[in-house]
Amino acid sequence: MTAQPNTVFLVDDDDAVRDSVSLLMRSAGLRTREFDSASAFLDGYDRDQPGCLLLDVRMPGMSGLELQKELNKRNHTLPIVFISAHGDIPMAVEAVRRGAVDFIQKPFDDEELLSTVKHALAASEQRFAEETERLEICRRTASLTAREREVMSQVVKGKANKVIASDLGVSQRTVEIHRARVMEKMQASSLAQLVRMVLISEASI
Amino acid sequence: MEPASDKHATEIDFLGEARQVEERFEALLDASPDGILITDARGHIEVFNAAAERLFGYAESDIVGHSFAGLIDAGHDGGPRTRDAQALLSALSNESGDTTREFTARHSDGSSIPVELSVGQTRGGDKVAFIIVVRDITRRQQAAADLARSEANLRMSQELARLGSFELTYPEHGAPYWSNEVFRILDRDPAKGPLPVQRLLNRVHADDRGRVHRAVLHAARQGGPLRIEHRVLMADGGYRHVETQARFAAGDAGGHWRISGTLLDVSDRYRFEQDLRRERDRAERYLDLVGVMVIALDRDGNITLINRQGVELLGHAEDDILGRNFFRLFVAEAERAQALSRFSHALGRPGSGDNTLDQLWIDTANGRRLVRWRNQRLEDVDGQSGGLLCAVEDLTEQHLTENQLKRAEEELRLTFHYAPIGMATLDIEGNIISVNQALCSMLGYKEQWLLGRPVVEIAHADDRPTAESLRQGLLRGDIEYMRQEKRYLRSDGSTMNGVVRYSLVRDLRHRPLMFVVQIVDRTEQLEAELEIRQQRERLGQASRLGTMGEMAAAIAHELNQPLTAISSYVQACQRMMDAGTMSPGEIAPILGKVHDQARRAGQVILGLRNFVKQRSVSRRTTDLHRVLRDVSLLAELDARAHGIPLRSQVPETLPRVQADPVQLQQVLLNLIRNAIDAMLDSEDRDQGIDITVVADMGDEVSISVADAGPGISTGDQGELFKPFFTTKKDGMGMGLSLSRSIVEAHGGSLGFTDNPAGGTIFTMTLPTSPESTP
Repeated sequence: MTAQPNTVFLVDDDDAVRDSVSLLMRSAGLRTREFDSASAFLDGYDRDQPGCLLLDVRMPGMSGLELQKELNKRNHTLPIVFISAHGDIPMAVEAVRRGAVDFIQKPFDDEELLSTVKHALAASEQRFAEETERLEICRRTASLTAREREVMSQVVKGKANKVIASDLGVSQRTVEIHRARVMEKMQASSLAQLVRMVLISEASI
Repeated sequence: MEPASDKHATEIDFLGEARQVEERFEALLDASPDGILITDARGHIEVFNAAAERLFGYAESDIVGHSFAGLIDAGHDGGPRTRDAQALLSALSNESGDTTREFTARHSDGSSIPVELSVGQTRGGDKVAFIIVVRDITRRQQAAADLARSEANLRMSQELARLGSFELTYPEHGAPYWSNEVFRILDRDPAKGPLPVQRLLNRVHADDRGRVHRAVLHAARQGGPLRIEHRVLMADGGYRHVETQARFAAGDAGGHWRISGTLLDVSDRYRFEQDLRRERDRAERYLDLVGVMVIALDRDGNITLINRQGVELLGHAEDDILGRNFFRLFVAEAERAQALSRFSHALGRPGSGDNTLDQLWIDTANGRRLVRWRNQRLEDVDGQSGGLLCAVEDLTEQHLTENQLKRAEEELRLTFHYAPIGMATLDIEGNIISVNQALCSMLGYKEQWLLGRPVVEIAHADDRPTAESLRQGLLRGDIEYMRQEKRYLRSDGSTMNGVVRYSLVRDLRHRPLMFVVQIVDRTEQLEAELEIRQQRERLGQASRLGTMGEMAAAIAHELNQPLTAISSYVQACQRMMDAGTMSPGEIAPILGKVHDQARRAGQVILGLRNFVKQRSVSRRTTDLHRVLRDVSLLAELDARAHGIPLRSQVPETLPRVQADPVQLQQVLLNLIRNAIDAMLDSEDRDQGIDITVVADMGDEVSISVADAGPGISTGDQGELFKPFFTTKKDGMGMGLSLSRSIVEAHGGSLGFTDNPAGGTIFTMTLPTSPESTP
């Protein structure tokens, strides 16, 4: 997790636009990384890095919309804000439908752009944190034995140890030992915490 | 005795009765068909009845008292005339038995009459009288002569008929007899002698043998005559038809039959009858098969024969019309007299050639029909006309069709005559067959003057050889159609510039028939072309506006980029200054960048202004450099917006051209725009678009636009410059069409070739201005 939060990835083929927008972002205290084409971004971007993609629509080579498509295909969750000097409504609708955060016309109002970008960054950060937690829970779940996983699934359904013992055909004592091992491995301090972890891990499946 | 009064009365009654008897006698005499004469003993005539008056030609009053001998010409034996009537009559009356004798009597006009005489003698006291009955036997004698003649004929015909006779016995009893004819008919050598009955029966054709055998037995039992027709076998395997007639009689000694009879060769008759029947059948079938009505009329116009077509045409059953008068049945009263007169004319015409009653309307059960009538005069044996045999053709449909055809021809003629362009037809030698009004008024000639004249006479002398060779080419089939701009001579000696189109009309067997010529007055066409050009210019204006619409998006994009940069720089500065995080040293380079972007925006607007500046379509000496510069500025925006590099290669010095710079810009922009569109989906977008100007070709300069798109498919190549043809999803299909029109209006050309590096190269070639300075 070497992620640096609050990074704005700026992709635009126009040097002046890129330079000025980057300056604007920095003036608001945001970090930026600049790319002069979509393919340059795809080559240089690390998917473990949270942030926001500020993307020009019309560019030589791969266009902004094409880049969005490609990222969706690769299952990237980076929020995208489109900026366009020549946007039209169908293009904007298409972009938002594919998951873009917003579609902003050039030239833009700095407040509007910055608030949109900040919202996107916050969302990205949260999503990144959730993703990190989910991965951790998945890692812990993976460390359980088959029997422990069985006991855990019964426990989170709210069944009493006695019932689980009779269902699995083992002694109540054995169930108790497994249950303690699960709580330990999952680093859960309460049953409620364990249930939440199971829900998160299942949601990702 | 009776009383006197009674006596007297009786006497009176007697006299009355005598008178009555006498009257009756005279009436009887006059009613008799035979001539009755009464003479005295010397033969002097006393009574001469009415029949005798008719027979001899004398009146009673003239002949009474004359000698009967004067009426007799010669004896029945042809002996000399007798003067002695008393001796003749006595001799006749005294002949016992047959008192009828034939004599030749003499008529008062000197002619001879064969008569038969019966003479009786009466005696009243000493008075002797002869009663003579005379009968004209002319008719009887004629009949006898006829009989004799026909008997002779019969004999002769029997000979001619080769009738053979035979005498046979059965079972065999003595030698049989065959006449020579029998040997001939049965084809047997007379030297071999006749065949016995059993072997004769074997000569009967197998199919007829049972029948003949039964007939023979029947005749033998009944004793009646045998008469049967059958076939006899010949030595060569063929057979002959014969008719055998025989009588059977018991033989002298009993126990056997005597058979005498005749054998008649009827093969010829049989064949003749067969032929006749076949001929008749064939004729009837033929009559039914011929596509026309065949009808025979006798001299009065009565129908004596009609075939199936006739029955169908007239719509009446054959039995209903046979024997009835054709003209009365089928010709309307108003037309009947004329038809009949033509009919009798045909009847009376000597010779047997075809005659025609031409056309005739007849009223059939199926309505009024127009028929054509051909007839053959039928002649009986003595050459008299026996009626007409007629073939009748139904022309009704043809008549209708002809009327329609006539109308169509008339329409065609009117169309030709009043067509708004000059038209003519020529024979294959090039002589004028027909001309229309437009041509006459175009050239000022009268139709009559033109007809029959070689068309070259009205062509300008310089154009004649070409026209002639083209016409020959048409005739040879080298070309199917020709169009030539040529000059014609008007009647007033002036020249008319025309466009002529020739096509050759061929007949069904593909032989040249005639030329159809269309001549259009070029002056009118030139006016039309001017009209079209003006329209094209108006369209060009519209197209430029359309191009502007497309360009607007690209321009907006290109203006927005520097504006975005400017506003972003400024806003960033404001933030940093507000936050106090900006040093004065940092601000100067940012302001410099803002200035650069402002200039960039200004340049975009300058280029735009140059492009949209409205100019009237006018040609003037134009600097191509300027045109290219203006176009590049706009085109670059567009190309960049699509991420396609645009390169140009322009020589430093370019010739000047006579042109409308706005129109040239339009063409170039259009070509570049097309190149961009062609490359939108291309993998080789980075290859970009190359604009190349070549000016070292003498009096021409060419500007080409090369793209790296997919190229133009072979199928589309021919269509490319046609209006409304497009391969673009949203294209109008006007761009290239208008571009070519513009270039051609400038005296140049616009075409395309495949780009060796992939894609297409469009090249516009323009003539350079003569006063151009290199």
